[in-house]
Amino acid sequence: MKTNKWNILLSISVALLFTACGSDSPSTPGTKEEKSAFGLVFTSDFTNGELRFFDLDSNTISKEKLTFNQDAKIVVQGSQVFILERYGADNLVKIDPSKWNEGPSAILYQTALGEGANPSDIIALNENTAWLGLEGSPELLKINTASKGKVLKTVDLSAYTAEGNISPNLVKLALKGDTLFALLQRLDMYQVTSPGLVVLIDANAGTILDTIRLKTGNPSTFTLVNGDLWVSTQGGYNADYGLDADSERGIERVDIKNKKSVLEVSGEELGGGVSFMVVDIEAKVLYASVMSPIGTYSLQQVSLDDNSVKAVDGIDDSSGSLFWDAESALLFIGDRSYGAERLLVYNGTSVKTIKGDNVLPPSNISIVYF
Amino acid sequence: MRKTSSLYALFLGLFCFVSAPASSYQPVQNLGESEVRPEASVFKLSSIQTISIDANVWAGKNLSVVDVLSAYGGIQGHKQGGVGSFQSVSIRGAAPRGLKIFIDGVPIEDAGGGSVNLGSIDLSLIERIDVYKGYVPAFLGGNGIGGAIHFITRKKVNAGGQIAMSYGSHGFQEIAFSLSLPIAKSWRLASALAYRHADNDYEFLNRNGTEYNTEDDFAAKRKNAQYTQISGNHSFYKTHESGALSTIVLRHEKELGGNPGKESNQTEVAGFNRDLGQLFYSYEPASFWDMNLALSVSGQIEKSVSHSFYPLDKIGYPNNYFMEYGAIRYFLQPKISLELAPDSSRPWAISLYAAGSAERLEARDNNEWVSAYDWHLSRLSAEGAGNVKWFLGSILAVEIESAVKGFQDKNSGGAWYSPIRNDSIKAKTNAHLFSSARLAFYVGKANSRLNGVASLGRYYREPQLMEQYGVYRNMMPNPDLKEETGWMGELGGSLKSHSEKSKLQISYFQTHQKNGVVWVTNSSLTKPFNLSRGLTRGVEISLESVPTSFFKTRLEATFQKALDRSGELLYSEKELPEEPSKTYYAEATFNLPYHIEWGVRAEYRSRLFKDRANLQRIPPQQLYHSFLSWAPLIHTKLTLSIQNLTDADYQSIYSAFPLPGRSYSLSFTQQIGFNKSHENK
Repeated sequence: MKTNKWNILLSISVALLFTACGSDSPSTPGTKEEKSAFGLVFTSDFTNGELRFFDLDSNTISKEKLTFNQDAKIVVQGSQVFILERYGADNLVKIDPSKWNEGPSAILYQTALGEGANPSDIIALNENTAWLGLEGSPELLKINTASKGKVLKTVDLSAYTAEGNISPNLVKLALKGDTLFALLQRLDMYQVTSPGLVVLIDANAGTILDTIRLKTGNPSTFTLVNGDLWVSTQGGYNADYGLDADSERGIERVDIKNKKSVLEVSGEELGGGVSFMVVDIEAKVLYASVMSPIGTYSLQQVSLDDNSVKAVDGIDDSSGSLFWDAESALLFIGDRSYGAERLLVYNGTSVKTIKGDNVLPPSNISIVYF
Repeated sequence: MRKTSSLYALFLGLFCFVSAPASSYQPVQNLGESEVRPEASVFKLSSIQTISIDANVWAGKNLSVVDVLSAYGGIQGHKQGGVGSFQSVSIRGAAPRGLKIFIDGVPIEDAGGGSVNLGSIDLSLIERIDVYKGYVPAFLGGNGIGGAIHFITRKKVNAGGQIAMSYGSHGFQEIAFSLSLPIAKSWRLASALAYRHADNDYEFLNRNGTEYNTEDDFAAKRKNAQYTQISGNHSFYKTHESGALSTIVLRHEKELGGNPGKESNQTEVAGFNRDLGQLFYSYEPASFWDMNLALSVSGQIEKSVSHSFYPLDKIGYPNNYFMEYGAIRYFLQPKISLELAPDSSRPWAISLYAAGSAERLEARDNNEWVSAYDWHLSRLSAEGAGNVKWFLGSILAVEIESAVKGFQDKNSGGAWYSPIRNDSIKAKTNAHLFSSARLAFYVGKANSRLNGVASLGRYYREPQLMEQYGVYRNMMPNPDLKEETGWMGELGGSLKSHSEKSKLQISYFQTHQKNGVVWVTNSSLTKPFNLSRGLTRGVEISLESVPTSFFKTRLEATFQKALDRSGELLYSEKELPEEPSKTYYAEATFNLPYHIEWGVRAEYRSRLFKDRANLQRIPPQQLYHSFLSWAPLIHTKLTLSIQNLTDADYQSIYSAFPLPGRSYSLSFTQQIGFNKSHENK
């Protein structure tokens, strides 16, 4: 009973905190010619936060670590590594991946963004410029990533904020050509009262171009696949603090050209709402961490060809986020099973554990090539 | 390390000093001590497990309750700021929430279900603090994990009074007035009123929440930390012709202040407002058959409300509404206690206690946004405790103590609004029965030079109403919470010198806690679970000495190992939060010519962790304090006190509530109307 309740709380917490943490492949420029690479896993027990590093060959987590505020998010853009310290810290951190094992000297800068900013995503336009999304503010920032995050431009998204709320809850950014896509939850005091919204913005000028209304509410992440945006949504919570298996949530495909969204895979088919989603574009497969009506997490595999859904066996709890590494064609899974938290890697057929000592539960994962 | 060594040297020096030959003892100047108590002995320690602390310890020195208590072995203090800030203590590794707190025998509880805020107790109104380490006596209910702290308010028996005024740094000011006088035949009034205020605008280093960026650090002043309190006790005593005594006490408190937030997130308008009124009546008939009987009833109303505005404060849910939320608590407790002391024909003593209580909690929200939950919670309880002590011969005694308490809880049910969905709590009535017991052996007569005690007790902490059913913002209740349990054991001894001017006490203790409530928190939600299990083993050493007429000293040391035994992979065998492995305390007071008294205090606390995973490390800390007092007239006293001489403070950047650095206060105390027992020798 205790474990069940614990799982429920964890599920809620994870869902709340990491709605923007779906780690899809970076869509920004970034050469992968040099093959120096390592994995990054952010670990957190809701009190502490540690960034750890793991070796992709030996599947081991290093002893080296950097402490940050709990539940921070890793965003890798090409060879740039950012840590977004979220609510309660509200900092932008940039890390030099070549110094990952040199302790704090790996930190290029740590810049305070202002209390309550709650950074949710960053997407680089080039080596010096990026858009920084804030979940706790109606402002979308264009920053200079080479000068400690100096703000270059501000886009006001307050028009999409639910009445009485502070922000429209920007949880994810994506870039296609010169168009920046911002995914807004538009929650009303954390409750789902209207469908999610995709805002299209001129990535250079920062002007709002258009909006696309989703079919369902509380979106968690999106990713670009062959010109379309695939969006995962969670919807509202039920009495057991789970996500019902119904058509109020699922996976939508947004036809950017026609500005229409279609619920391709419903929560009924998935078995609940989607908290994390990544896509293997080559194999045309989508992986979704699905929260069930009773608050447990499963990993579902969805075919982009026929939308068929298949559960991935051997995963007890996928609430510690997902990361798809196109380079190695491996799926990394954060398993936050209470008392047996671990980092997993799935190669399409079998699951292995990436081992480490005294590692907090994984909450966010990424890989950097530099 | 160098500072630590100097503290060792200070300890060593003081130990050597107190072993020097003693001259005849003369009581030190004593202003403000009540006449209710019998003449205090040289030693304030009345038994190995009990500490009795007189007002002289804190009078005029601007000390908080936690400052006073944590200067004794086995007690760890926790503070979140300056005057009036949230403060608590843990005893022998047992978490603060399990401790029982009483004022004049009436239990004080936190309406929110957490540990009692000791920072809200104004010591100006307190005459004595009794600390029961590891056990709770039967007359206070006989149960509490960690023990009990009993505050006894000023109750002058003879006509007289006292006025005390203090002024200090960070806007501290206090005035307290107490008076006792006969108001009619067989009627007497004892009244005390105190006002205190502090701006708490001390400076601290704001690291801006960026651990790796020191360029944005800046010296900041604590904002929105002001605190004001007005409190009083007014007692009427009626002596009946039969010899019986009736007592009516009205106690009231009003406090308000800011909720200043953390180091890098100082608030602007967030604050709290608390009002408390308590009426107490007791009837104590004249002793019959060597029995002391007391019947009493106490009623209490407490309203505690907090408020915040997210756009300015950045706490709570992100919204644009002014939020005000809190609770009102009604409490009624009739009780009866009976004590039968031993005499030459009866080698045993008995103490019996029975009480009932009715408690009701209601929401007091006044939000611009919909209130979380219009809840009504109630609890009825009946309890009994008994203590029997047999004296087996002249030097051995056995004590058995047991308590049982039954509860009936009722929650009204209703809709509530969480951050992620609207929900409802089903109306429900629950009943629980919990018990505690203790067995103790005592060696040595009460006044002998050598005493020993062996004690083992099992105690519980019942789930609190707010933990089970209450809803504040960001807080989810857990109706499935179980009771916490704790085993507390002790083996100790004390030795007095031939001259009885020095006393050494050593105690070994063990505390086992199970099902401890842990509030699992993320940035949006917090919910209680029975997750914690801990084992604390340790030794307390205390030496108190008055070797000469002009010098007295007290040395305390605690060595303990407090470990998490939850079995959870991440936390098991880690150190329990906020529990240092070593603490030392040294105090020396010099009575100088011209009625000048000078005292120095040094305290050391070893490295501790703020969190269960032992990742938030707080380095060792040494603090030094001093005071100088002068009595220019026989009933007048001036005291200059300096706290934290070295301006030391360190906080984990992830859980930083800045504390005051060096602070000063000057106090003036004037006694009004005296009897001979209060005059200076």
